[in-house]
Amino acid sequence: MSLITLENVSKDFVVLNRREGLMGSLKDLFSGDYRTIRAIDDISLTINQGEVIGLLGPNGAGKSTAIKIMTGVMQLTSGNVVIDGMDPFRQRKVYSKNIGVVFGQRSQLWWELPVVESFKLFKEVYQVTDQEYQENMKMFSRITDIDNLLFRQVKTLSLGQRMLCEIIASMIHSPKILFLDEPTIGIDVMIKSKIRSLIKELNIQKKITVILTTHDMSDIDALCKRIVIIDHGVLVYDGDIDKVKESYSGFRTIKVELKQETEPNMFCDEMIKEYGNRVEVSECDDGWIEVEVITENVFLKVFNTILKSQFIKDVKSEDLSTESVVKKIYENPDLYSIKSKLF
Amino acid sequence: MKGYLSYIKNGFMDNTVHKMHVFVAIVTNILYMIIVYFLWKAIYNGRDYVSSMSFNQIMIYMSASTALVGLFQTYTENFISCRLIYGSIIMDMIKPIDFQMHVFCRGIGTMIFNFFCVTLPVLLFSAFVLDVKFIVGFNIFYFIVSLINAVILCSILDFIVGLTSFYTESIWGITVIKDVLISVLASIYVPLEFYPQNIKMVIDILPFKAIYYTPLKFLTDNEVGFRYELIQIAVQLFWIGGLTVLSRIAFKHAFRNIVYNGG
Repeated sequence: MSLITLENVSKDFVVLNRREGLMGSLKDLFSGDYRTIRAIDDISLTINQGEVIGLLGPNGAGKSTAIKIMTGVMQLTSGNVVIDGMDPFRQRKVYSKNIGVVFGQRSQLWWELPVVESFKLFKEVYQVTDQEYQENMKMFSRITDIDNLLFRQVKTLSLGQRMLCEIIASMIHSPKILFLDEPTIGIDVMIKSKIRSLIKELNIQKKITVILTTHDMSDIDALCKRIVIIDHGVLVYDGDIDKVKESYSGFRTIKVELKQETEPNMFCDEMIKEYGNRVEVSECDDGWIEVEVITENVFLKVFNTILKSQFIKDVKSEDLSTESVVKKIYENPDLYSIKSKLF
Repeated sequence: MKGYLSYIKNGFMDNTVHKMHVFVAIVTNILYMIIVYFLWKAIYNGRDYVSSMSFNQIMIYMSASTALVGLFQTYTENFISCRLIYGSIIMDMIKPIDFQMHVFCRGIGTMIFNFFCVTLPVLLFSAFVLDVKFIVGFNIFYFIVSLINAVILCSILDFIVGLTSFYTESIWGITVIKDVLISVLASIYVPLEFYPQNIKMVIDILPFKAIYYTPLKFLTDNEVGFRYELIQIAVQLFWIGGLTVLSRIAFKHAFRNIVYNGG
């Protein structure tokens, strides 16, 4: 049986149509001109225990709203949500005992106090036994080296250190489900890797289900098998990340370094003349030229042409990155075209 | 339950971080008591009684009211409005706790801190330096009971005021209005005995009196009578009940309509 079920979930917000300028803002004071915005539109989804889901979408797509609905802090306009056998909004207090939540932009730690005081508070709030608390802390310190941060005031921590503490705070009670809303925003590679190891280990050891929103595709590569993409509140894609990549397997990128005396335009014109809209040619920041093959079965032909070209100094071929794949889905959020490719 | 005790503990510790705050709070309140002492000395001008209160009684009233104002200074409204306006209330709502109880316990933690850095120094200064003679009798029992009620009532009122920022998205003006209303209608700066009769009648039907005047009256006068004492405590309980219901409804309504800002 699935742990999380969303059935035809929609969420509307009613907002005032605001006008511009000083007079506009004065008129707004007496205005009754409201409009309804649909933040989530008829989303259905099931997630099983132990899955790590990447919830993706461009800015303002509705990811955070979806997380708020699933964490029980926001009421639905229509539809049905059952998580762990409960209605998150109506049974918020009981339900929230089994979940851990991190919102990358917000803090649950006590700003003025040492980190450990927040941890001890959450231990009591979630009624964690001393033994479980000690065991969990031992595991956290083994994976993330948290010990040297415990007695520092939260306000003296760097963003990355604080985020690490936020994530640990959300795991103190070994939740069944962990919701992470942009947990790696603005964080250096070292701490990022610690956070990922922590999530991975908890997922494997304690079968914690993780729902992660991020704009960093390396998070997705490191943690998730399944991705769910939302755009404008609509579910655009739900499935295996590797399947999407496979569907774009004919699509590859060839990077070319040109000889010094060559004008990039000369090479680009040559490629476009030969292949038209079957390739996309662009100049990279590092001076290399990127030739994206966006039509199947022409890769070898294009590669051969490039090798024969008199302008090139060096060449390399890359698979399409997760980032490019997701970008392609964002650019073409046509549900049926993607589904028809895959299923 | 232990979870809520931890909120009290952290609420207390949260205040201990700023050493200067403790020092400034003690000094300013003692300076204020000196001003109050000379002001009322000038008003009494050698007379034994003014409006049925002796100089000693008025000094008990003023030192205790200063002590209580300091005690109740928890900035709960600001805390709630900050949480609402910047959307960080979401971090409280994902915990298996009651938001109002959490806010209340935080406030209690702050009040315990205030007790040591305002209430106690003011009372000790009044007793030992200004030579105010506190009336110690059975009235202390009623004072303590009514003080506990006052703490609860004050917290509920602060909670309701804080909730208004759900609707106004700003708290400053509302806090100022609340502070002015309380200082006049709860008779913080001038005892109710000095008020004209018709204003007293208005004050009688409002909840503010039950926060300050009721406990202060018990402290300054041990001859008010058993009937009066019971009625005043019953009035406090009535307001606690009524405002609790109001605050629960208001919070439920606000929570249903909440739009968490950003992110």
